[in-house]
Amino acid sequence: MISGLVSRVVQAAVVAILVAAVAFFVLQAAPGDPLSALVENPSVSPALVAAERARLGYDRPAAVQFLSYVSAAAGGDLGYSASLGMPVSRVIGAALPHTLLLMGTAILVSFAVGIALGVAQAARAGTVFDRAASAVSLFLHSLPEFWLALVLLIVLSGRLHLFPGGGLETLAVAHSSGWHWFLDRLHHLALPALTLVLLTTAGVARFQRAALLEVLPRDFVRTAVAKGLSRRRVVLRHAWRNALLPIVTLLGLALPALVGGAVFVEQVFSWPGMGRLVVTSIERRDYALLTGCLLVGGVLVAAGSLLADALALAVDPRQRRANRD
Amino acid sequence: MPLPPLLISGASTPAPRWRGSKTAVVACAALVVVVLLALLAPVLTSYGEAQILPGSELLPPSRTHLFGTDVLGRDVLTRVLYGSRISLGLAFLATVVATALGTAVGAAAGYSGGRVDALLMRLVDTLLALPRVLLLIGLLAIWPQLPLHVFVLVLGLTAWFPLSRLVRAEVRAIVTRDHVLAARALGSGHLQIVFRHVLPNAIGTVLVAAPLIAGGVIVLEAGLSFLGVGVQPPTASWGSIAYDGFEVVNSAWWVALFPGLAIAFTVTAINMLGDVLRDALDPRQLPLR
Repeated sequence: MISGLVSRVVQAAVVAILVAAVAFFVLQAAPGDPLSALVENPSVSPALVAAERARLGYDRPAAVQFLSYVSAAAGGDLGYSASLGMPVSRVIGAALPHTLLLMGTAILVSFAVGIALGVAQAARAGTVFDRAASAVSLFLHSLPEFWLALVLLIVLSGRLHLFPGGGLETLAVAHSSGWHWFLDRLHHLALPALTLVLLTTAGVARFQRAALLEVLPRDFVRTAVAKGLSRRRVVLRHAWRNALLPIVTLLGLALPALVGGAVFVEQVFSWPGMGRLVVTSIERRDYALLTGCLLVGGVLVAAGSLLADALALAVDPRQRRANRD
Repeated sequence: MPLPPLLISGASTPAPRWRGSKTAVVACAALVVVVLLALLAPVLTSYGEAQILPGSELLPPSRTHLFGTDVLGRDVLTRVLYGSRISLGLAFLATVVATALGTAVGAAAGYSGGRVDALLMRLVDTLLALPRVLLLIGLLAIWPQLPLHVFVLVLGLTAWFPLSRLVRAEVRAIVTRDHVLAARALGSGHLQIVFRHVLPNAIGTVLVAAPLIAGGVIVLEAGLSFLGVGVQPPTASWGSIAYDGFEVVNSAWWVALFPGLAIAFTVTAINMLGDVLRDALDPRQLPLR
């Protein structure tokens, strides 16, 4: 178990380093550096700019700059966002909780519903219910995130006025207390979360159905049926437990995709999280902010995948044994 | 209604065979229609791809403009038709790149075994764990006027990871078979064994994966273009039309709705086909998006 975990920690570290390298590359390839504006200022001499470059380390080799970039980032210094006029870390610190709330809600609901749906489908494989559910999840699985978000926005918010058209909260109740505030936040969370839930649930249900269908023909299930156990008991107690591991693995695989989906959904619903920040930083050519978002998002995905892997090891005694040998 | 017995023996396909073939026919027909619409775009519409009709900005769908017009007074149906050429073309070329790369890496890992195999698959696992959309957005953002052929390469180079795993698993099983052993005993070279005796037997896996890769690329291209970092205006792709439409979504829903409908139709058909192929050729399931 320990060696399995170690190799996964190494993998997560490599992911984080790769993400940091891409972020640093973006920062390097982006036109200009923080001193470019000074070059065009006639009252600043080129010698002064060069001296300032040397003082801040922009004249050092790329590899050295990368190391100092990574060590600064590890210390929480992600640079300065020129377009928002404050440190990148503070901008991200404000946006991150909103993204975590959105993604956390989406993951919890979609995995709960998706697992239940997948199990129900596999237990009734081939029925009208199974085929209808399969068709619907196939369709949802095929939709681009941004488009489903747009359709929900146009229909449920624009036409039927059931939900607000975006944002985090209504200004008027933003500073009121307790229950009103909570309901208002929930009301704003509903559509962005629903978009991600619909898409992810479809994937989870397809995966769970397939995993359970692979277990059901096995001998131990036949034995359980032959013992005269009830259908519910056979499926839930005997078969499903053995079809749960792929779902835990899927959690790790789904995280990177969910982060991508969150970018689109936040953009459509003006949800003030990391994804929206990414788009804003592109529009304003604020590369320090963009790379900060890439770095934090990438490291979070790596950490999340690692957590999912650890969970897989924890729930599956077979893996623990295999790794000990 | 009595429930059918649990599938506790034998066949893993619950659906009767005729249903599979019917789904395949429907999906293929839908895809043929989409491709025909793309090819016949100049015949089907009397407007130009970027033709601006003064005075007809943001018209709702009507008999003269079935999908309405956009903020510049361009016919949205025309742009969706021409956009399908870009979106489908990009998807096709990127899929060719990704399929070739995924097959090559998978075959190399599966045939070599040992350290090469372990190293390559660890690499693929790492690449799979990367937040692909986030990194692509970052990379594309520093390249505002990206040429389409570079964009195709970027899409293809980031779409092969799952396929290489599938091919590798298939190849590992195939190399142990007798006919491969026989070929080796007869003195065939490695390349000849791989191309003549191993890969032809793994073609099913590639056939199942290719349409799913294409569907994923269509969705990804649309998403990136929707954010403004993919296909650049005035070129129409399904994503870039939606990008134009998003700014006016509250007053003119049709501009963003119809290109997305085209994506939904096409990708659903592709995934239906992929499902049927998978049931027929390869029971393993791996999410390819």
